[in-house]
Amino acid sequence: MKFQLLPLILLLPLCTNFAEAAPLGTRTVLDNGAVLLVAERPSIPMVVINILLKSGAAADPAGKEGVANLTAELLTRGTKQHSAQALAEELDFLGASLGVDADLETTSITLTTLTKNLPASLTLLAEVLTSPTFPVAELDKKRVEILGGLQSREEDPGWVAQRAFLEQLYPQHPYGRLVEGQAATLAALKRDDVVAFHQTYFRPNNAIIAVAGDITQEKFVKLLQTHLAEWQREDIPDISWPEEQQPAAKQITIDKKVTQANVIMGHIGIARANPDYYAVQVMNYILGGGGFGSRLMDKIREELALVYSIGSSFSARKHAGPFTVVLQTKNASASQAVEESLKVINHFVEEGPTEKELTEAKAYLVNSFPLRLVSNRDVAALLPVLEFYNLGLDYPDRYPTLIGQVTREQVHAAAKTYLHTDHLLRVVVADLAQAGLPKQ
Amino acid sequence: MYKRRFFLALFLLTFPFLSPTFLLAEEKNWPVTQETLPNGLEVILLEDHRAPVVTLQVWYRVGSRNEHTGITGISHLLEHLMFRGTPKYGQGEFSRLVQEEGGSHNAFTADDHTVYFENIAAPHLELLLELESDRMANLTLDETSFSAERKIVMEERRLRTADEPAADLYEQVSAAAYTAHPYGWPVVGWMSDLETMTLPEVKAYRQIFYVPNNAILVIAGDVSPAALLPKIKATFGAIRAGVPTPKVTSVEPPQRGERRVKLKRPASLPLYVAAYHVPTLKSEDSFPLALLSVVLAGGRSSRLQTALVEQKALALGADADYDRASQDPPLFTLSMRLAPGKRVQDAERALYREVERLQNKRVSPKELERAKNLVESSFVYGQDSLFYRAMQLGEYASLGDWELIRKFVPGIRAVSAADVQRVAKTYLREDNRTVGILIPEGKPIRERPSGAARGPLH
Repeated sequence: MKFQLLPLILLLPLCTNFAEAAPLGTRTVLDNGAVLLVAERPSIPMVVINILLKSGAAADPAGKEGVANLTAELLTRGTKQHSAQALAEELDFLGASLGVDADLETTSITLTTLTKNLPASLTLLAEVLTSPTFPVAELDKKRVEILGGLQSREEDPGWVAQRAFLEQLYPQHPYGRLVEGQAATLAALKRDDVVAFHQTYFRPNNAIIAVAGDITQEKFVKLLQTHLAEWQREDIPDISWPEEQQPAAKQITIDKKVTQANVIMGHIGIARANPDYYAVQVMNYILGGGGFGSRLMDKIREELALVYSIGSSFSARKHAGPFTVVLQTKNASASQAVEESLKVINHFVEEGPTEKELTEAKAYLVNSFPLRLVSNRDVAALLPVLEFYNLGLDYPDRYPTLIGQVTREQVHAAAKTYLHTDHLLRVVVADLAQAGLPKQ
Repeated sequence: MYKRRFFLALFLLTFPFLSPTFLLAEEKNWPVTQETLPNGLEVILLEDHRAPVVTLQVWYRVGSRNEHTGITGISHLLEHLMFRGTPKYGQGEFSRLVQEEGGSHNAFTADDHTVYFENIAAPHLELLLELESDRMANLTLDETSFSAERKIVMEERRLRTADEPAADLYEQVSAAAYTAHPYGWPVVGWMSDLETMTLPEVKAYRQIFYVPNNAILVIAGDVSPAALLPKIKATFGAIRAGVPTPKVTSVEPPQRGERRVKLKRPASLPLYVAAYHVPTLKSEDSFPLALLSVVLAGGRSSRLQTALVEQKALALGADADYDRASQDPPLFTLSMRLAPGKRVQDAERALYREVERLQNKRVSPKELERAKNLVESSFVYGQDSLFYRAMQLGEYASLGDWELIRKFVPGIRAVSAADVQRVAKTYLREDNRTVGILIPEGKPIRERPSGAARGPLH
């Protein structure tokens, strides 16, 4: 999914690597400026490499929205050494998977390979990274595909709601953007734009290289010296960010022939660097982040049986990401579900958490950590996030304390400070007649 | 949660083809202890000490396959009710106790089975034994829970099927492909059955199927079987055996002529599905069929991707799916989402041209090798997930023997180009297929939100 509501899992990141306080991996800054993070995990003959570039769709120049995504999509569609088809066949023959994915603030390149095929796979990864050719014919095809993808998602009412919500919440702000761009900007993109984006941002000093699996740091550094010796640093331009503004309370309704109303409501949340981040995590867990047992789930699903699922989240990023509550309910109960959810939130803001809720939330956040770091994929996904948010590889050891010291008063204060039902932006996608809502 | 068999590939995106079947060839990678308790419960323990965590799964051999008309969806509704508490652990206690220890839990229902699972740090495994054995024996079923969960399931059906065009189409295709066999109705059940089902029906159903002799307990992770088995016997072992469960006897007769279903509804783009009746892993043909699905749609350079998406740009995506781990003969499906402005007839012709190419000419040794490499590497990557390994054990054990998984990679390696051609000819025949076409109707494109400021709802 390219539309940007980060899953909860990213909001609850970063826990400890179990009882012994062994660091998750090693960190080295290479001569070309790349940060290398390696977690040596020899038990399965495979290696996962996750290269995170610290630029994504937020770096799209005005009028060229969609270029970061188009660049990512085209990266594997031809290199100086291989046509798109030849590259695909080689990767398949090696049983390797290589994916490139642009996000708002980052672009990730992920390679999964058998250890025995690591050198061959890395050769292909290096080609893709440093010598893509961006053939015009491939670009034209990909453009049609991206547009088609956008069109096909219009049938998903949840996506339609989310998109309208973010457009309204972040006008003139990269977080309101579709990573894919818009039909008009996509149509205007030229090969030169893609080449320029690649030249500017696909640089080692803009990259975090994370590796997890059956390889040692020493061996991997040697492999990089062989395969990526030509990758040179360049200055990375800064991009400017507008301030996030709390919305005025309002409701947007969109009429669609659906059996369920899809509701998303929320406002501006917090940035990852906010010192209240941990109190907000605990607070949101109790409100609606914790699945079964959270206040929203208990009331709206278990007691009133209005929904299959309901949840709240704070998407904390470099800048203040959204706070959202998302639910689906049969058209006829849309207003009831919204009102009852608001009551839950208001009540929570008023009274704060109980001691029992606090204890349970903190216990879950701390104790669930080990379960998020079982596989090589888990670790390769987490390592660059730690680096991107300057959390350090000792963060896993610190996490239990960071959560542990959150008090009931802090959680209550966080609820009062970061939940604003008087600034709630609401989007309802529904069969409006059935939902008893006026058309706008 | 419910899932239809041929949606697996959509859900398990990290294992893009034939997810449940990639297995470890090497003996040492499956250090399994197996025991059947006197009450009939099968216990399968897998030692994997990479991390101090465990996965526990209880597999009940009951799913939509065991239902009949009038009570379709009852297996899945019962799955929901299993979270509504027991006399000992009341409503909400299960979740609270598991989550407090950092554990996660959920369940899903499919056509062949209903599975409850938890992931938790290894020291808390005993809590799971206590909770899962307690609800196997002592579930509280009352009108309040029943009427609430019935409503929640209806919301789930609206969410996942009614407002989800692809799922809606698959439901129609299954219903047309199966005339006699229960795979024809949806796991979530028909809406009218959900509306009219009664609590006594659920109680009776539970009594038949939720017995230890119809269940498999799988535990994988940082465990010591010698220390664990006595604890399992003290909890699950104390539950009384039930009578043997009734057999499903319906057999789908051979299909004699193509069936076509059209579904007209709001949607963005046409969707096309061709579903063929094929055998399960009990047949040797299941190996070449598995490989055939990879040649067609595995990896980046597959035939359908190349022909339909890359070269002709007729489709935004194309897929082939076959899950051989099935109790009764499943469907082998080819599917594609059309690109904007393309005609169904043209995409269909191009799709069947690819099928015919496979029937008329053998795949090259290199292409065959590529497909086998994809299968084998996927299978190694599959070991990376503890949960997935436990899933494999449960799935194969529920089909009769977990050790069947050892035969998969050797079976795939032994397939010849002639085998692939033969199964393509035998099964991917026009007369053996059911075609489903989603035709967008109404207003597919969203209207612009007017964005006009309005006051709050109340």
